[in-house]
Amino acid sequence: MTRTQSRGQAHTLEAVAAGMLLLASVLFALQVTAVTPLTGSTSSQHIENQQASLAEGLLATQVENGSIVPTILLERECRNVPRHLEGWIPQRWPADGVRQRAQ
Amino acid sequence: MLDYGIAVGIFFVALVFVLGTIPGMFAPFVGSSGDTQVADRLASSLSGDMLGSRSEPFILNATCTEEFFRQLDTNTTAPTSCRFDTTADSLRTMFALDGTTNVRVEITRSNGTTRTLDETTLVAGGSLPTQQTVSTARRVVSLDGETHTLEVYVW
Repeated sequence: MTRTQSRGQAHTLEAVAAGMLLLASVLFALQVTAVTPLTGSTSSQHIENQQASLAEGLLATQVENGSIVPTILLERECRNVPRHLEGWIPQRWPADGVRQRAQ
Repeated sequence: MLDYGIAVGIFFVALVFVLGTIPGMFAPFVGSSGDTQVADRLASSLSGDMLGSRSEPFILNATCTEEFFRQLDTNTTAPTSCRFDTTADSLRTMFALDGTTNVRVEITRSNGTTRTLDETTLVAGGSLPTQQTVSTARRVVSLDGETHTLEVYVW
């Protein structure tokens, strides 16, 4: 009886060790992989293409409008600033010195 | 015996957890890339070539843009100077898509309303499904010197 019980406990220990090994190997595999679904969203090729084309289109549009310089310099007065950006976007930017240098 | 049962139980819980988690980890990489690529290619070719010119991508030609949507809506024929198939009467034949792919193309102002040009509403294709995954591609384009958004939905 004693012998069977100690064998059972050895099996328990073995199972716990095997389970931990299993979980550790998964954890290791996740750590060595550069790109997993949990990495930043720009890891998606589709989103990268999308953002690049959006930026390109925006710049081309501003060139067509003739407002490329104010767009790049963020020179326009910023109205309707989203609440979470308040304080981050100045009311008028850049400062005078920078604007003169740009012209 | 009881110890052995617990041991097997613990091991199986770990095994089931791992087997259950791994497919979920790879799910975003498997499949579903077809529609996004179609949407992306359609948006690129519409904004960079078909509705404007190759030399000036993202600058749409107002006449051709209006004729494009009017042709799809009322089967008129656009002038041949436009760079798209002037005989196609649906988006599916225009882009040579297979019969199971649905497309919707829309040009909206920056406030989200659909643009109307010479009484032609700049939207083509059916309404969006409510219970299906839809892939979207967006481009910022210039139309009449104003900033607009070209949206392509594929499902």
